[in-house]
Amino acid sequence: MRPDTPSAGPAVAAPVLAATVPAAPVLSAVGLTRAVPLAGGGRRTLFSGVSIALAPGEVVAITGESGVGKSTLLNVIAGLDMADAGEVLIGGRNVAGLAEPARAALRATALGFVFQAFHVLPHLSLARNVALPCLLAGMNAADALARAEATLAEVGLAGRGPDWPAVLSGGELQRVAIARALVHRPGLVLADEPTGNLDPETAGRILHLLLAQARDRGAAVLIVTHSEMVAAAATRVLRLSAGGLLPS
Amino acid sequence: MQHWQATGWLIAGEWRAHPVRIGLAVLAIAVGVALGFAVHMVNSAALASFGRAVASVQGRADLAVRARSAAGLDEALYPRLARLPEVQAISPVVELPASWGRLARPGSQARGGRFTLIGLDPLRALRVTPGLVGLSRAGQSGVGSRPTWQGDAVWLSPALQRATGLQPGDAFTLTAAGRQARFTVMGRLASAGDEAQMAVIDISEAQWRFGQVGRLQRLDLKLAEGAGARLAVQAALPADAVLATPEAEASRADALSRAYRVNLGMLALVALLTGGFLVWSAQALSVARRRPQFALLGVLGLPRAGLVRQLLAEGLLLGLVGAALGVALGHGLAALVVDRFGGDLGGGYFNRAQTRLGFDLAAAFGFGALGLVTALAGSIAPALAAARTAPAQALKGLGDVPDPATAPRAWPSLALLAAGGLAALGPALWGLPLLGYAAMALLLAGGVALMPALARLLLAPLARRGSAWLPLDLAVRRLWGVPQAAALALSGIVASTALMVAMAVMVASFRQSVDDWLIAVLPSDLYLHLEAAEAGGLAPADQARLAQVPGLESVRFQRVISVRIASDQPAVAVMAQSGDLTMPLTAAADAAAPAGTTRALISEPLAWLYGWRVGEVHSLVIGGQQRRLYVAGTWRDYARQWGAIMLPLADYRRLTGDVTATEAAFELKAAADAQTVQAALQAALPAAVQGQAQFGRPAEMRAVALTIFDRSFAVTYALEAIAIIIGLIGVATSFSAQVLARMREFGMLRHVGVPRRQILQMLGLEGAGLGLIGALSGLSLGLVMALVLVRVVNPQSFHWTMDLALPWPLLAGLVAALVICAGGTAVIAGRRALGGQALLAVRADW
Amino acid sequence: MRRLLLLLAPLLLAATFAPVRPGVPMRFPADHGAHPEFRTEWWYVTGWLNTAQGRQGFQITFFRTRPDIDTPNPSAFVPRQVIFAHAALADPARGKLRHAARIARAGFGLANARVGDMDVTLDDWRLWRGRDGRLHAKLAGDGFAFDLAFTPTQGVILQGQGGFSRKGPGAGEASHYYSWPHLAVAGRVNGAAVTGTAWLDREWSSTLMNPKAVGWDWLGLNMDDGSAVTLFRMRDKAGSALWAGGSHRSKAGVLTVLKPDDVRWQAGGWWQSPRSKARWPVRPTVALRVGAAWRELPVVPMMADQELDSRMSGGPVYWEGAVTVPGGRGYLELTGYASPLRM
Repeated sequence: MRPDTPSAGPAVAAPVLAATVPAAPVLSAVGLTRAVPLAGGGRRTLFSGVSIALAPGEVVAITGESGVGKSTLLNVIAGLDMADAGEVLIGGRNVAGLAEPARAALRATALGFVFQAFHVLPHLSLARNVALPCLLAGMNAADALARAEATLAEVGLAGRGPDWPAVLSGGELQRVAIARALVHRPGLVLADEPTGNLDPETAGRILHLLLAQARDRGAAVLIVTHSEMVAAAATRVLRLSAGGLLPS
Repeated sequence: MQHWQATGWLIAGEWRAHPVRIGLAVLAIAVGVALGFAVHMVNSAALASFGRAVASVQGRADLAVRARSAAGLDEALYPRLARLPEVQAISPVVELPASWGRLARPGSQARGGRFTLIGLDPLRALRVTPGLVGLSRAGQSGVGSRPTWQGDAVWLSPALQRATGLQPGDAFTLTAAGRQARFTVMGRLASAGDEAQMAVIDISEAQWRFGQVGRLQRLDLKLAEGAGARLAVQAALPADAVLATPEAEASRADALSRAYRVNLGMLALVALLTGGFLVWSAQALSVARRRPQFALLGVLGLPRAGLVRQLLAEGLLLGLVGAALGVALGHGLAALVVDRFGGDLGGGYFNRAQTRLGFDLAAAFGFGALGLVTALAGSIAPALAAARTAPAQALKGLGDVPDPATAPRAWPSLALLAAGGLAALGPALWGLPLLGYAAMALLLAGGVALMPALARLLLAPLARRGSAWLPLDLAVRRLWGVPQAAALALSGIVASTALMVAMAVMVASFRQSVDDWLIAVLPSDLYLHLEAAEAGGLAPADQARLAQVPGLESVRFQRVISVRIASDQPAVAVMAQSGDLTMPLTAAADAAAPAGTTRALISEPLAWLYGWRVGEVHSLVIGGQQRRLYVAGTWRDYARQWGAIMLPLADYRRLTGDVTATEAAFELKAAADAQTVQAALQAALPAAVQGQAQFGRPAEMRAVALTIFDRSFAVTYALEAIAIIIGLIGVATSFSAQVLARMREFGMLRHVGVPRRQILQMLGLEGAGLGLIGALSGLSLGLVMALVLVRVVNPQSFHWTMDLALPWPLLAGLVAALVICAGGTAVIAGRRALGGQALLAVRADW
Repeated sequence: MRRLLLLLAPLLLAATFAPVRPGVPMRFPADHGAHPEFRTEWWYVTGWLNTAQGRQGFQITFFRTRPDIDTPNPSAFVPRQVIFAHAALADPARGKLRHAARIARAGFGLANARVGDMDVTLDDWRLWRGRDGRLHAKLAGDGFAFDLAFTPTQGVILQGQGGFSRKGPGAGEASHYYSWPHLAVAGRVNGAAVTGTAWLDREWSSTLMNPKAVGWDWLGLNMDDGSAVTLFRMRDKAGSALWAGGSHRSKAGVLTVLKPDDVRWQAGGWWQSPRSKARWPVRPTVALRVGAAWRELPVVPMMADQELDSRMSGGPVYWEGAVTVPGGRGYLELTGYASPLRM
């Protein structure tokens, strides 16, 4: 949602407020617990008692062993998965308390996503790929495409809007993904191993691009990663284990 | 909601990426709609012109009293009815089937034709059926002046005038009731409509020249208002007259071709149903392939409802384009068919009418909507399935792999199959085999739905044992492990195979039964048939002359006359045959005929239509009175769909006094030459009926009959071919889609060192395996459906039975073609999938 | 209206038709009945009615014609005789005629003209002479129904020479013709009681018209003083008289037969029909010479539109209407104005 249309509701207004009132957290999760059913019956607890709060502009990295539930934690925060206990507040709104369409709307307006596997749609041009979140947040197509072109330029892909994803390298695809994660000015970007598919040199460039772009927009970033380099760039690094989320 | 914009982009992107698959789905809908619409248009056009022709011959009277048979009514009924106060005006009519020129079999060069000869009193007809009163050359009504309607004057309907090419003043020689007479054309019946082949002469001439003195076939009436009028007329009627209301006439015209029309319409719907399956499988595949895409959209904030909307919008667009294309295509097809085959699609029901094709807007919308609904129905299940998927898992590529450990459920499909079996046992509704069709649809749905479970069951032994040959092992495990994916491809194969097999078996059974029947009913060496001789054929003297022709061992004469049993049903044929009534019977009574009854055989359709059973006594009006008939047996009859009754000729002559014959069967002496005998017989015929006489030898009659059979099933064959082609294309595309969707898997296989050749072999085996499973399942399902067609649908619509005959070579060829097609397509698609991009495929998710 | 018969009667004289000969005495009641051996014949009743709505005119006509058919055909439908009939009611309040027509070939007891006395039936239409000597007519058409009895107050008038009436200059052009004026009418029209005065014309012939004739004018008048006037003329293409004739019977019963020279007929009062576009001289001035004195009668129609179109049943368009003259009223018939009726 564009900041010049503040009438669109609290979920929309939250990131804008966050930029001007530093005290309010973008994300606040308290006591999250998640268990998964086992094939042979019974349940295995992934994590429990996880609490986290992100202030605007903050960059937090979450590390941990494989299978400890880092991605699941991101999904719970994004409202794509439900915690067994605890609650997630994004911009002050309880995600679990919302109906499916409202959760979808919340993601469309308040969250940006970056994935390890890029997930750029192959049948849409770069500009349209980037413009999708704006459309889903309610912007009209012409404005969305203009904003997408501008954002592409900011990630170093000026004038590449009409191109098809098939001709892009991995690093370029992730630039597109970053543009898509930020184009609608979310308060919070969730990134799941954003550099996992990239060579170290490209990975460094991409990480800095992501963090710089997020900082420019005042967005907080929550990164799940195994990478030391990524963790080093964060303001805080937390380690997820069965015991909870603790500073490493 | 700006989601629509995103939806539009995604649909456009998808369609740009897979134009062939989208085009095919559109085509499937279009073909279904086109066939349904075309069949409907041709039928309604044919029925309308048939109705108009009937109305023209009747001159649009309020009501008509008709003779039950061509023997007519005593004319004393005319003054009796005329004096009823309820009768405002009355017009007595002699109506005879007649012919001009030389009637010939299809394909011969001889010129001639049949028409209806109407004899009426123009002075009376003016007040009841003015359209039947001729205009003289000067354009003046022929009434009142020196009676121009007297003597040899004849007026021709426009259609008959065109056919004969005669102008006013020309001589017109015509034959009716076994007599020939020459008339002078006075003019045209301008208001007789364009369809009817009809000539009008004075009633006194018609009675005198064609042996009908004292007889009438029909009385047209104009009645006073009020409900009692019809009852008053009804009460005054003798046994050999029926009251034919316009509704009854319409119903009779409708009944004449209803079953045929409904069946063709159902076939068209089957094509549409196949189209629906194709849309479903295309959409399901496309959804499966795009699952990560949809997941991404879900993560980015597209609500589930928005996703369902997008997929339904896709289906709607497919349906809209397909329906529009189908309506256009259908109109063109109908025009072509009417031009080439005539209004009855070669079925032979409307041979006296010419068909005019109009554009039926309501029907166009109706069939278009049906196409749309089919497309939407095909999209809705995949759309809902896509919306149910959890986006996070799907995005990780986990959601689209069903767990091999879960067995697909079989009971819903078994329930559908059971329901189908039950429906097949049901009776006809409104004279139509609607439950039979429902049974076929249920069986089809159940059979297709059973595929995943069945595939797993069939592959289980192979999967357990494994195979030393890697390609086979991989193929079997894939098929066994992912039966839902296999079922998608299978459903198309099974559905189209089942429909093809059902149709093929039904047509083959019918054709075989007709052939057997022809051999059984044509035991003699030579046959004579007089066309258009309903009202009278060969006099006894003529019969005697024929019997004396040298070279004949024996001769049996037959008189065929049509008799109305019910006023809203087409007339039944009463066939009086000399000698013993020898027919291959399907049921017979052992007892002797009770006293006071006449022994009679009835045809299967008659038994169906009127509920007569062997051993019962029923009454039939012939010779002006109710006669009691003892039903001694039924025989199979494919020639007269509206029923036939066979009597001994001697009894017929005793009951009616009618001693003429319209048909004869000759046994030749061993040494006699059929050609010579036929020429001698032709020469022995009276001149009047020579143009109507048709000789036939069993072999050529069989050939002609089967030619007609094949022609009337031409449309069925065409529908069948289209179903096969759609089915094969569906198989090909669903295979190539699945193969392309598995690029990543192939990339992995190549990475771990499986050679390209082996991957192709694996694909070929998978394809062939699926094809085989699909073809065999389709074959079994099709045989069950054929059984429903043969045992339920046909008897209920056409009132005849047939023996099941299986065209094994055709069926085997079909299975082989499917297996080869499926395997071949898989290999071809695999080559594409493995070309260059295979290694990339591992890295890119889609 | 007699012109209608010409449609049914070609001019060829068939040997089988009885010739019209002078000197054949009229015999009654046999001559009230049909003469089937002649080609054409009619029973023609016209008159004025007194109704609750005022004066109205009526016409009831039965025709018999014998088509020129000689056939061994045994069919009962052979049209050896054809019966047809017209009826009309002239109501000044309506401004035009109500009329109806029937036609049928004789036979089956449905249509018949009896020999021996007057009894003509055509389905449910009938004109007959009762045992009481009165004439009766019963019939119904669209919007009107007649149930009338006609009581003779005078004897019949034998037209021409004792009933042999010449119709043209040719020797055979003649008919057997008698009239019965001053018939007292009583009965019902559309259920309401009426009275009035009527005129019966009876004529039969096999050869009526001169080949040059295109139509004719006819006038029959019941004079208030009890006398009766009959006038007719045959017209050629130019509109002048080929032949004329008639009679005058005084109140004392003195009959004067009018020769062509004794009749003058001045067409006038042309009225054009909006339907057929034909022009009719509906207000002619006629004059007749009785003894040495000419008497001129200006004819005034009850209404201009008394045109009757029988083309739908094969007849001509003609004008048959109620008229008055000073001191009398009757019916005027005009034919051959819509089109020359030469067949």
